[in-house]
Amino acid sequence: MNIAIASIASNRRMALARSTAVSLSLHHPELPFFVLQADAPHAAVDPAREPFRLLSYAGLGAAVPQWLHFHYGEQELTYALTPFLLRHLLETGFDAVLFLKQETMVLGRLDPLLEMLARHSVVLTPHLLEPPRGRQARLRELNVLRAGIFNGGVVGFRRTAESLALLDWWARRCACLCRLDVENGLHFEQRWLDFFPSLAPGLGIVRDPGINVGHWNLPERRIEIRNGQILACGLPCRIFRFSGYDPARPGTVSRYRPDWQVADTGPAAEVFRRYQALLEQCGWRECAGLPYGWDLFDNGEPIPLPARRLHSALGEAAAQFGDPFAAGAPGSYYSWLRKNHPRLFRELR
Amino acid sequence: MAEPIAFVTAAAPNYLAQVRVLCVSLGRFHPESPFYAFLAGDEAAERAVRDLGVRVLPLRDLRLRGLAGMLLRYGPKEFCAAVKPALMLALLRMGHSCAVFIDPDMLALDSLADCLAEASAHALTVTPHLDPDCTDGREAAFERSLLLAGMFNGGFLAATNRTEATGFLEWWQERLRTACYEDVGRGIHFDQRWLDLAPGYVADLHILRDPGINAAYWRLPWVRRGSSSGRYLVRGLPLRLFHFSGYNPARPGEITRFRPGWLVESLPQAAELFRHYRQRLLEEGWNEHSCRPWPWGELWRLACGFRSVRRELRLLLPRLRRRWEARTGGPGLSAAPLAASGGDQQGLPLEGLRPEENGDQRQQRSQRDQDDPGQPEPRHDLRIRMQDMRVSHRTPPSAI
Repeated sequence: MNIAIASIASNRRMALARSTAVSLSLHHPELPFFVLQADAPHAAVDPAREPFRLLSYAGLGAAVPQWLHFHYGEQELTYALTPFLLRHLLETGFDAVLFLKQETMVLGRLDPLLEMLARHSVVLTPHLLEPPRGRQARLRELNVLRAGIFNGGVVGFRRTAESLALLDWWARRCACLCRLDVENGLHFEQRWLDFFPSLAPGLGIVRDPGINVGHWNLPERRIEIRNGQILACGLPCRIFRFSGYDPARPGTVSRYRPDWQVADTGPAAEVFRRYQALLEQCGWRECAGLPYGWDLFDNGEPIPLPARRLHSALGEAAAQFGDPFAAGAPGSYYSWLRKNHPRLFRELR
Repeated sequence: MAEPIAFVTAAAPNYLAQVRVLCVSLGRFHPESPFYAFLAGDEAAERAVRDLGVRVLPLRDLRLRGLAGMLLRYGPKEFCAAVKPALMLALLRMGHSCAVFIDPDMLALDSLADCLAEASAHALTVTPHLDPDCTDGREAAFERSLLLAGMFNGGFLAATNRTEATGFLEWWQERLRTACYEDVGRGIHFDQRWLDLAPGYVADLHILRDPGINAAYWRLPWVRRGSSSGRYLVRGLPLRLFHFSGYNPARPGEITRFRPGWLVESLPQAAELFRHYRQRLLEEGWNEHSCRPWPWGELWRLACGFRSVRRELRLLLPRLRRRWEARTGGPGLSAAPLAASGGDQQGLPLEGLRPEENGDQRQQRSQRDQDDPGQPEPRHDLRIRMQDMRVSHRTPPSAI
């Protein structure tokens, strides 16, 4: 089976993709690793020098809705592109694609996951495999119910009629409903995965506790280190996720858990130390300073988020404005906004 | 050893006609399987189903933890939803190898034998709202309502006597003890949203995809009547168990209260089904039974009144205090005894879910979250606690 591994990152988070690539190549040098650049090209991200195969946003072509990079901000776009990238790779000849979201470190061979992928058309990892215990158990479950039952960080698709149809559906939803609005049931691309058990008889649910360990299930996964090997529930830990980890604040587990210190995670603290060292090696400091290429109109003004939403909501009517980034022309979206919604710009100041 | 498969339903006494219709319709196809009903301990209602051979489950058989709190916290709808796992556990304890819960507002139209055989072979069986054939662009609105209401319908569930299933039911019952109401923004939709966690918690989860089982208004566009047999079909397969979710016999023209304005007569193929169901309800005494009161109504109304007074005071006291301080220049009235005690628990978001909320939301949430497990239970179940009075204040529009 011809398998590809894939990830997505904007320029300033490219060090995260590099660290995934470096850790993956230690265990699977044979697997090609593709990273989609959810950003404008930048000199600091040179395809010839990256430890992965860089795919440009433009390289996805017409499969991505026009101006999606205008409709979404940086984080939304990075997540919304997931089904588009997976479909692109399956269409370019790979039999299966395993998506690893940014902030992932591969700690061992992924054979159990790849074997599942050979048997199932879709493979997902639930956030929780058992009810959490302790004082905040119900709260943690409610957070999972609002963020999505499955984690969007490890997702596998094998090319079948079923999985291609699912990817089409997921891409349609991500094209307009990939944002954070948990009160209304939206959590980027991730909550749509909740439908997969209903929609995909060929779904395989990963129950290996060593795959996709993250802050949401860390207390249940009982991390230990034996002879240098990292174990989860006594089994080899193969994929560790550092969702929300900020290398500038290496003492904190995740920006989503500001009260939880790495030092309080027991043996898992060693995994965080290794990840920090890997990020240093991959140049996170240089990357962190890079600008996001689609933050501004071409006259240098920041694009207000409501302006992105409005353009998306206008649908086909937005076509009259042409390129929404181009501010100069008289009939531009920018000049229309200036005239009809001047408050959008005042509120930014 | 009792009979292997048993059905069970839970209903407030005003749903007695629905229970009778369901019981009779199931009995036509499954005379061998006993039918249990929980009628909230209402003796008159229990007497009124004896002629059908219904086995009534008394409240004490449910072995509910924190019963007094549940009766104070929940009205009839919430309470009947909150005891589902306890009912299924009670049946499994009695020796049934497979307990099948069915909402009372359902009608059996054909044999369930195939799906019962499937359910018997798995730990837990659920029915999804959505199926692969109905995802297209137009359905995004329905999908968004499911994101708030839950992936699986709580109207039909089956569990077998395996550790994995009973462990799940015990966990679910513990959650429903305090969190079986509607607060969809927080991830709670009665009993139903908790079921979304089942694919992670239950390895041997069976997703029953037969479109004819637990079909409700969301599958009506595919319901047809066979020209020769007169049987109802969903996408060519027999319609076995129809769920009249949101149907009100007092407003017979409307399909469901969840989609106002959708009229029975707009679906010529299915209109006869609704007419037949209403006729059956009337034959089984809907006019009389629908007036039966909730046996714990006084207690519940008292708790509701108490909650609303407390809510008003909580809003009023800070204003009074500010006014007092403005006039006297010093601290005066305190809202502390009525405000929530205990720590302000922050959320633990995943993947970008940030704990950004304003003070009021955080205060409301911390008050509600105090019902978390780990608090000591009172020794006497009938002691009334302040926290038993707590329930969500928000009632956003219902989805399913």
